[in-house]
Order: sequence, then structure tokens, then C-alpha cells
Amino acid sequence: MAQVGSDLRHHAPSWLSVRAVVVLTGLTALAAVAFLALVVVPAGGDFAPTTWWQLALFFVIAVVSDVVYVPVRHADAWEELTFVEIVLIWGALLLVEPLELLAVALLGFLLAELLARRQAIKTVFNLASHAIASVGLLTTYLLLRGDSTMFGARSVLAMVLAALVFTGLNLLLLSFVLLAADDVPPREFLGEQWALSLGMALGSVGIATMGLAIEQNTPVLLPFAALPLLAMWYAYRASSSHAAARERSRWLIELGQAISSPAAIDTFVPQAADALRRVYGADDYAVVLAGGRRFGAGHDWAAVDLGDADAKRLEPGQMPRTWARGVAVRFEEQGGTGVLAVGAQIATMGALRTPWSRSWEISETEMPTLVALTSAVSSAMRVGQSLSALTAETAKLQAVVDNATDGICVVDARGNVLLWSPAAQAITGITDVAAPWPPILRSIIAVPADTVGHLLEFDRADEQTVTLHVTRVDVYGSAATSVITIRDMTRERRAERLKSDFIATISHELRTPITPIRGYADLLKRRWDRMSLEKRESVLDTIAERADHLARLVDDLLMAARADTETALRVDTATIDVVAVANDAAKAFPEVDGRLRIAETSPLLVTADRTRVMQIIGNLVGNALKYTPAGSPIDIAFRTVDEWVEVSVTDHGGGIAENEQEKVFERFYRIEDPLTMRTGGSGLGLHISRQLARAMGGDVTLNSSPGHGCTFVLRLRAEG
Amino acid sequence: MATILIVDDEPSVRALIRDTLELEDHDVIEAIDGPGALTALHEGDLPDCVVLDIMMPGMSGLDVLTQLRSEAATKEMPVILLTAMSDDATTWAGWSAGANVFLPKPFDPGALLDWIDRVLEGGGEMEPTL
Repeated sequence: MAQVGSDLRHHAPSWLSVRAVVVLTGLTALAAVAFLALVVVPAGGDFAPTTWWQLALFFVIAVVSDVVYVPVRHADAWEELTFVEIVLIWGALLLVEPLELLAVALLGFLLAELLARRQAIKTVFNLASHAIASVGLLTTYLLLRGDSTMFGARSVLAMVLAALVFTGLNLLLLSFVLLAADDVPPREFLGEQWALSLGMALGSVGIATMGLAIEQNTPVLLPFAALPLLAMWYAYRASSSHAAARERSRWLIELGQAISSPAAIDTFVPQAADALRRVYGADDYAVVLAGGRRFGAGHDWAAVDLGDADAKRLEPGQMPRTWARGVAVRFEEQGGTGVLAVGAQIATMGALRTPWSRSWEISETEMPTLVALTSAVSSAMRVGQSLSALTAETAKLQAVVDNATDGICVVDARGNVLLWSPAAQAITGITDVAAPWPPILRSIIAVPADTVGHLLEFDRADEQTVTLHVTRVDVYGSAATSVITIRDMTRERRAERLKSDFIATISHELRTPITPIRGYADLLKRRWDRMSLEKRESVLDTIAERADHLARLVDDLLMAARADTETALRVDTATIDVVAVANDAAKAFPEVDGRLRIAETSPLLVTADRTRVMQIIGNLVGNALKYTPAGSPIDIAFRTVDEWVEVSVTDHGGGIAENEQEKVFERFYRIEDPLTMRTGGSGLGLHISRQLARAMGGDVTLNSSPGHGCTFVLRLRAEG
Repeated sequence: MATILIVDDEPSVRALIRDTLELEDHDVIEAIDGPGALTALHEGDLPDCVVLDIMMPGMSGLDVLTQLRSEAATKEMPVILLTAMSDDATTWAGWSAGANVFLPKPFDPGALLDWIDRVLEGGGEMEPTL
């Protein structure tokens, strides 16, 4: 009754599973035939003697009934409905020897399969499933018929049951192979098919018995027996068209859905083209876009030039190599003309290459709808292309907004915040711009239109005082919006403050030594005669010493200026003993003898500039002396860590708070208020020390906790 | 001849002022910071005049001046403020605190002596120049 014609391509999970079904079916068929030969035939009793013409007739009917089929589609698989069971019913009722009957029928089916040039694997499956179903039919009939005559009630009833067994087995086997090949759920398949199959089984019994009755009584009327057969064939055809239409509707809906929500080209084109080829029952599609991009089977195919035609049947050589037939349709897209083709594949099975048995075609009446649908697909594609261009553009703008260091805020005419960029969030610490707004956000949004560089200062949630530089530009268009950019000026403002503090400090530092120089010069001039010789000498010493101090201060300033241009800090490195250098540096502080304790260590060789190292240690010791109470000790110690030598200068003063520890290395930074600062100094010493150490490949770092003093560590590269 | 208290943390500046005043036969008392100045004023004989630096560690000259003006004994004491910070804000702060003379560093020792003479004579105060 039915054969499988699945082309086993589109959803086949794997060849193995289909093969497993075929092998299993084959083995079951052998077992069934053996059962028939060993159990049923001996029990069946007397069989009618057969003549050669009878067997020849059966053979011919078997071939014809298998060749004339109605294709019914299940997803990508095709079920082919035939009338093969008529031969079996006829033979069984005549009590033809079952094995002979089976052999003749199977030979007839085999010839039919070869005529239809089906794939080997399908032929094997079809023959095996026929064998199983046929054995089922013959066994059921022979075991139930008993002694009944050919047209006795029991015989007819047995035949009806036998035909149902035949149909049932066929359906079951078919559902297995469809599951393996195309993922068609057996429940769904059986649910769709049982009514049609039942009708076919009963129809076959009726036609076969009536035909036989006519043959027995009035053979001349036999050709009329073909009329109900013809009627049934038409009924099947109608049912098949119905199933095909249902399938087509399903894919038209899918296509409609794809068109109504065009995704990116890469997703949309394969999706829409696949739906389109399924609408027309084609095996494959190929799309070549104007820009040369290809989808589907288009990779070995140069799109044909359709000239003025909208659609065209493809000649061999004009379509993908794997296709037996195809139709190409032209469509307009961005930047030119694309071509979409659908077609039937040449069936392949391993090395075997056979033309596909189905004569797939798109009729002339279907062509206009194919052109129209393709045009709808191309429109959707253009929408998709515009959308993706828009998406790309939006992504670019988004990247700008996300990565701009200035905060960006967009506000509409009614004051709604439309955009609040990540930088704006980071600068202000405000992530949620829903009302009620924090005061600073209100101030930002209240900045008048077309203001450049409005300064706002506020205390952020993390307790930092932040200075903002807010610029607002109003854009008047279809929707009036304001674009507000927010720049964090905290660092710049701090740098400005440091600079003005520095100027105050440095003017104090420069004037302090100038005061005695200038003052003593005047005094010498005015009161030379009233001053003793010793006094004059001591005054001149003071002038010279203060002038030196002034010169050192100017050197420091110049060096700090150079340190920031990075290139000009010159160090001349050589191998030096850092312990000896530290001891020399300590000699510059004779008045603190006793406070300064230098660890006694054997020489430690480093690669460094001797003068610079003296300067750094002098700076560190000078700082320690300045910032700690008189009498408290300062310790200089040495140690080796990996390839480094570290010189530490530890004081026992008040220490430095953690948030000040990095700042002390900044240029001009001073912890104290310039008006009450306890010590002189430009605020450059530590900055210069660190820059010098880094120029020599080392560093100066600070470890401190308030109340426990400070340890400044000079780290230099050990020699060797 | 007068007794003058010099308050400055910088030794070389103290020495210059001391030398200048001693050459004119004034008596000099020295303090190296604000608290030292207040101790000298509270514990010893009151000087005739104070020469006071503004920028000093711990307690600034302005703090010392404010303290002097708040005490009866030193309320009218002539005070000459010396500073290396001659910006407007500091100058104004000095006048507000009650300085008689505001002298920016570096200064001419002759000018210092002139001002000392004038304030000792009870002479007029210098007008603030902003």
C-alpha cells in the first residue's frame, strides 16, 4: 500500500540511524519469510496448483500496481501510495502456494523499484517492509480462513483482517524510517494517516474480491473491475493534493512570519529562502545577492543572467551541480539585482548517482506567485538591510557615548533625561536619573542653554569634592533636546590650587634667604664703621651661605621642571657602594649628630648615579629631621631584595595618613597650610627624589601609618 | 633706647634684625616661634615694640598678633609685621588683626629702623597699601 520515498536529506539526524532501521527491517523480513515457510505453509494445507500464466499475470499486476503511485508529502519525505496488496489478496483467496505468491510479488516490486530508479537503500527498505507486511497478510489469512470457501463469510472476514494487518505493519515500519530520517514524530504521522490507510485497506479488499468474483464467473467483464480502482486512485490523488496544499500553507505562513520580522541578512535570507523552497516543494535553494554574497547551494553557481525576464527555468549547466531541475527568479535589492533559485536535487547515495524519481516542476501558473513572493522577500531584505545599517550606526554612536571621557546627558524639552552616559554616572556618582533628582543633577540640568564651561562644585557620595565644567547646547529640530556635556575638572582644579600654593610657597622660600642677603648688604654699607672685623666676617659668611641656599633652591626648581618633561633628567650611572654614599650624605647634617643612626653594613654595590643618590638620601633625611620632634631618632637601614638594594629612612614622627601617602610625591604638594607650615621647602623634594630614582631604574616609596612614623624606601638596582 | 622683641623662625633673619637693632643700641629679645613670643611677653618685662614674622610653624604671626590685641597689657603694643607673603589676602589679614606696620621681606634695615622710631614715638600708622 505505501512505500517510503524520503530523500533523507534535510533533517536526517545521521545515516547510521536510517541504516539501522533498514537493516533491522531486512532482518525482520527474513525472519518473517522463514516463519511463513516453516510454520504457516505446512499448516495451510492444500494449495491450488498454479499455472505459469497465472504467475505471469500476478507479476505484471505487481509491477503495475507499484509503478502507479500517488505521492504524499510528509515534511521533506514523500510517501508513495500504491495498490500492491491487491496481488496478495487475489493470490491468497485463490490459495496460490504462499511462498510462490510472495516470490512473484516481491520480484514484481523489485522490477517496479528498478523502473522507478529509486535509491538502493529505499529499494531495500521497501522490499523488506513489503515482505514483512505480505507475510503478515498471508499468515493472518491462512490461519483464520479455516475450511471456508473462497467467498465464504469466514474467508472474507479473514481477508479484511489480513489487509488491516498488512496496512498496519506498513504504516508502523514507515513511521520508524520517517522518524529516523526526518524527525517526523510517529504519533503525528500515524494520526494523519490511519484513516486514509484504513480506507485504502478496505478498498483494496473490496476491489480484489470483486475482481476475483468477476474473473471466476464472467471473465469478459474483468476490465470493468478496473473502474473502482481508477476511482480510488483519483480519491488518493485528491487526498494527496490536499496534504500538499496543507504543507504549502504551513510554509507560506512561515514565510510570512519571516518577511514580517526581517532580521539581519545572514539570518533572514536563509530562513526566507528555505521557507520559499518548501512552499514549492523544492529540495534546495540558491541565492546570489547583487554584491556577490551567496546563500544556500549558490557556492558553485554563477547566477544566470535573466535579462528582462522575471523568472526562468534553468538549463543543465546553469544551476548548482547537485541540481536536476531549477527555476531562477530575479529580484531588486540595495545596489542591484539579485537572483534566487529553487530546484530539485539529483539524489545521491554514496558513490551511486541516480536522477531523482520525482518529476518536480513549477508550473506556469505558479510562476507569477513565485515572482511575487520573491519580491516580497527582497523588500523585507531591504528593510532588514536598512535596519542593520541603522543598528550599526546606532552602535557607533553608542560606542562614542559609552567611551567618551566627558559625561553626556541628553534632556528633552520637558526636562526628561533621555540619556545619561556611563562617564556621567562615573563623574557624578549618580546612576539612577529617575526623579527625585539629587541637587547636583538639578544644577546640571538647570544650566542655561548655550552655556560653555559653567563651573559646578559638589561633594560626591564618595566624599570627594568634585569640580564640574558643564556645557549645554540646545538642539532645535523636530524635537527640541539639550545636549549637556560634563567634564570632570577636579584634577585640573587641584593642579591649579597646587600651583598657586606653590607660588605662595616658593615666593616665601625665595624671599627668606634674600632677606638676610639684602639686609646685611645694606647694613654693611650703612654701618661698616661701627661693625667689628669679626662681625663683618660673620655677616659676609651668612650672606654667602644664604646665597648658596638660594642657588640650591633654584636648582631644585629647574630639576622639577625637567623631571616633568621626562627627557632631560640625566643620570650617569656607575657601580657605587650605597652604604658609603649614605654615610657621606649624613655628613651634611652635622648638627643632628646622634639623632641619625646608620646601620653598620658591609658594602652593597648598586648601579646608580652617586650625586643623585646623595641628593635623594639627603632629601629623605632632611625631611625626616624637619618633620619629627627634636631628639627623636632617624634610622637608615639597608637590605637586599631579589635584584634590588633598598635604603630605608625611618623616622618616629606622626606619620602620614593613607590618603596623603601618594600625594606627597606630587609636585608642589605640601601637607601643611603655607601660612603656618613648620618647615621651609618648596614641596619639590620628594617629587624630585622619586623622579631621579626612577630615572636610575629604581623608585622611592613610602610606608606609614599615622602615629607610627614614616619609612621612605629608596630602591636601586643591585650591581650584577 | 628701647627693648624690642624679635619673633622669626629663620635664624639668619633673626640675626639680621638683631644686628641691625643692636648697632643702634637697642636691646633685643628673641623668640623662635609664636608660643615662645607669648611666653617672653607674659614672663619678662614688656618690650617697647614687637617685630613679628607671619609664616611660622605651628602658630602663625597673625595668631600671635590677635592674642596680643586681646590682652590689656599688650593691646596698644606697637607691632611691625614682617612677611615674605605679600599678597593682598595676607596684607589685609595683617591689618585686620591690628598690625601697626606691614613690612614685606626682603626689607631695607634702614626702613625697619625708621618705622621702629616712628612707632616708638607714637607716630602715625602706615596706611595699608593694597
